[in-house]
Amino acid sequence: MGEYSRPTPRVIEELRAIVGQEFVTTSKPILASYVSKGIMGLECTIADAVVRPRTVEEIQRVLRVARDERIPVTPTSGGLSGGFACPFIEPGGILLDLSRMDRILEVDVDCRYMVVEPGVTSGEAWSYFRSNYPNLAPPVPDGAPPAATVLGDAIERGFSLVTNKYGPQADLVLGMEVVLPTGEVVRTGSWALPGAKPFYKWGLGPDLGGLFLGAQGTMGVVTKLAIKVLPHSEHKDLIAYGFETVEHMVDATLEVLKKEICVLVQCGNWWLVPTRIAPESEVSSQRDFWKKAGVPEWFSNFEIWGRDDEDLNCQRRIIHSIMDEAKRKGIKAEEWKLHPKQKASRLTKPNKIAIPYALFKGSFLFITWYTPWKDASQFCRIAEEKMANYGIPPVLWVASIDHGRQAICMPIVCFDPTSPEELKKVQDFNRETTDIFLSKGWLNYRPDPSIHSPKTFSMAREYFDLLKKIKNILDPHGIMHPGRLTLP
Amino acid sequence: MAALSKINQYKSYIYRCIHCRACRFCYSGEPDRVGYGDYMGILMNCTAGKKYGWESHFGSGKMWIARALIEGTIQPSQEMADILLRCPTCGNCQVQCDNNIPTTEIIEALRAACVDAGVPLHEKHHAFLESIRVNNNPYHEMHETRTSWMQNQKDQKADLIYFVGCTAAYRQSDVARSTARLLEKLGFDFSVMRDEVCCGSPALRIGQISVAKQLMEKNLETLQHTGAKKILFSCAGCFRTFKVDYPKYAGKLPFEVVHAVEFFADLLDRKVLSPSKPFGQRVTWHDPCHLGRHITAHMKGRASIESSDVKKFRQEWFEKPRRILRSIPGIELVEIYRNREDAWCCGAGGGVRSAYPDLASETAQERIREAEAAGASSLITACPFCLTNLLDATRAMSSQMRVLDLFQLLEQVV
Repeated sequence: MGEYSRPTPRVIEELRAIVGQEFVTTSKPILASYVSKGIMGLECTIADAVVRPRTVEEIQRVLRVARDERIPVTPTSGGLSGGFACPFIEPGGILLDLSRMDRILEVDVDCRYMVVEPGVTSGEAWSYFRSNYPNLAPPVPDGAPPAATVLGDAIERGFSLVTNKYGPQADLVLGMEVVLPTGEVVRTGSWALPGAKPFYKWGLGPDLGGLFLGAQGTMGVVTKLAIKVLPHSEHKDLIAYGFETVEHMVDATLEVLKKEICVLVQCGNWWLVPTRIAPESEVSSQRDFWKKAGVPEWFSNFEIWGRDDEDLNCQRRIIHSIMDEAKRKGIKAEEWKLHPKQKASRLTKPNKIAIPYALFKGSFLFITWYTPWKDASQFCRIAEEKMANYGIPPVLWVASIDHGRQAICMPIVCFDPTSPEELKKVQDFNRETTDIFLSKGWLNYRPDPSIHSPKTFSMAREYFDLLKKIKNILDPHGIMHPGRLTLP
Repeated sequence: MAALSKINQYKSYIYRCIHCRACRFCYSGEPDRVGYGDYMGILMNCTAGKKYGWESHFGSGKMWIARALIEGTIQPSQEMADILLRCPTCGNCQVQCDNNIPTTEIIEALRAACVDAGVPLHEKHHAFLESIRVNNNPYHEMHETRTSWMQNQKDQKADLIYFVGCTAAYRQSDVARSTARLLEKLGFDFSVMRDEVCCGSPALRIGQISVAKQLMEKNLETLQHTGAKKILFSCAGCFRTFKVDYPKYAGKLPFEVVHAVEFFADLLDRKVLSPSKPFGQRVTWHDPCHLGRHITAHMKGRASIESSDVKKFRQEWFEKPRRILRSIPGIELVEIYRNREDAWCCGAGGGVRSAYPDLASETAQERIREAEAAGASSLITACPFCLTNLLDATRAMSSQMRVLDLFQLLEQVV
């Protein structure tokens, strides 16, 4: 990293000549305002300059300047990745703020995709479709706030409103336009053929798209995204069941998942309720209190969309009958009758459900892992025990991907961000559980650069070496910031 | 460091910002909200962020500037002050925040920190502060002419005092005259104070706390001599300052603080006020920030779990001007899309109109366009400062929209 340079005043002037005087800054307060810690990561550093391009050509030219001067570049669209969209090691280099590229360029109602620029937020995309294409839904993230971008969520392989049905957001991607660190522009999928629509995700020979999905901007700057849009149903419901144990929750829920009917299935323990209501001092953390309030020990939410009420009723019947059968087999399951307001808050997309966990102790971290669905109970037991050991409220969330072929498991670590001791505790917990989880064969989502990445890649050395070789081909001058993957 | 101590008071709130950026929108939790034309669902609602685009100009960015200041990464500076002051402190970011961060107070504390650190004032702010010092008003007008819009009812002992405010006294005297005439028509015994001085809002909003305190002291002393039991305001900014800021610095006030909207809404309920003349127009209502979300946010306070009383207050509070408008024969009230706590600011407040007139004007013009899209021919409000800025916007964009203060309208129809 020592070979990197910081942008000099001359370079800043060059950048201004490219994107315009008013779209490049080295103002310290502005640079500081882009810093973000929490949600997904605790480490990030301040950039040396923020550049806000408007066009692909401007990005090409900025990258060529960065290449010539060997200045690290970190692209960011909405910046919602809790620090993941920021550089994390010195020097911070250029933060490429893509929020000015905010157009929905195309909606193809026959092929059912849209083409968006990086700055299109999920809130804006949702409003646009409600106004113009009410029968279609853009695949916005679920739980991420409305400022999260569609493109950012997709290339992060994030969680969407239909992840149970269609898989991670990246599975909906049909094509990307990417400016490579060398300044070349490449398109993926069928889009790679000049004149072709982005109608088919597999392109000309081996697909290159995967190199840019989950790469956290380290392989190039994604400037356009073609992504599927989905039929939007006005017939929706949410059915919740409570369970006494996490094992019962995982087993009974899997039987529903196997029917492949729900668009979204999210589960968790009772701690999910109090920790997003109020500060710790103002809300009960006693299980008895929440038990009396009707909150189950563990619960599953099944979100269903139907073509009509009859279809919806059919799906409801399937879920209830599976739960009846589970009860006959000894699983303690009981329907959790949600208040209409509770249902509405979950069915609203995009929603702000994930935001208020900062109320409880001041901040929070989503430490997220992928496991096979059946392993989710073991994951929760381990996480629960370790969180208790570290004095961390054991808040646990689990969701299904691709009808339960995978689970996304997430301890929500609430902590006081003003306390260095608490920060150390969080990272110690993270380190200890990482060793355990990796040994079980579980994978981290959006790895922490100082914990998950080194541990993971030390176990998968050959794969990491290949990634480095590929990175070197795409980025021969090494200007894309190493990112959370610590790809040099 | 004194500058930092002001920010440190808010440390636990500042660190709650997870940079979710929901604070830049209106209806941030209502993506399916039905509207009209381009006004649907979640919309950008941060005036400064929309204009400048840098993260620093949104509420969330300012929380991270505050955090950097606490951690010593940055120091108060001219460029920091310039960023902070390009914001009308409309309070949208505060009401959208699900982590209950008092962003408006924090932004004002950051401005005060810059003042404490000796960061030079913006020349326009310096000019109006100097005028306040010399003339007791920011408009460079002689103090002696403050009440020249009115011939009688000055300095009398009265239970009810009409606190006019600088803008209505010097720039929108029709608002002052209409409010006074309404009171006269309805038979109220009231008085205005010749020695009324600037309420302190312009100073407070730009971080000049010591200047504001001096003004507060002067007003409180003058009011004490009147023996008033109730102080009535037609200015949203003065009202907000008396309602929220005066008790913070001067303790419990010995009188009731009432905005004319709530005063006349109450008279309407008691059938004392009964508009009889028709006003056959399609009108919409602009919620002034200082009368709207600044007050509801104040009533909510720091509580994370909102009480049913606060919910009821919010609902009733925003209904008051609407009830008055609906009571006028012939009027058709249509809602502008961004309304109540989700209103788009007029762009004038927080020292913006004087120092950054382009931001103020563009913001007001967007409001006029939104009113036009709602199909209204008149835009009614209850703040002479909003009125001034919105009127200027109609002229700048050659709009046919008629902008009126509620009390001007009310006086015509009673």
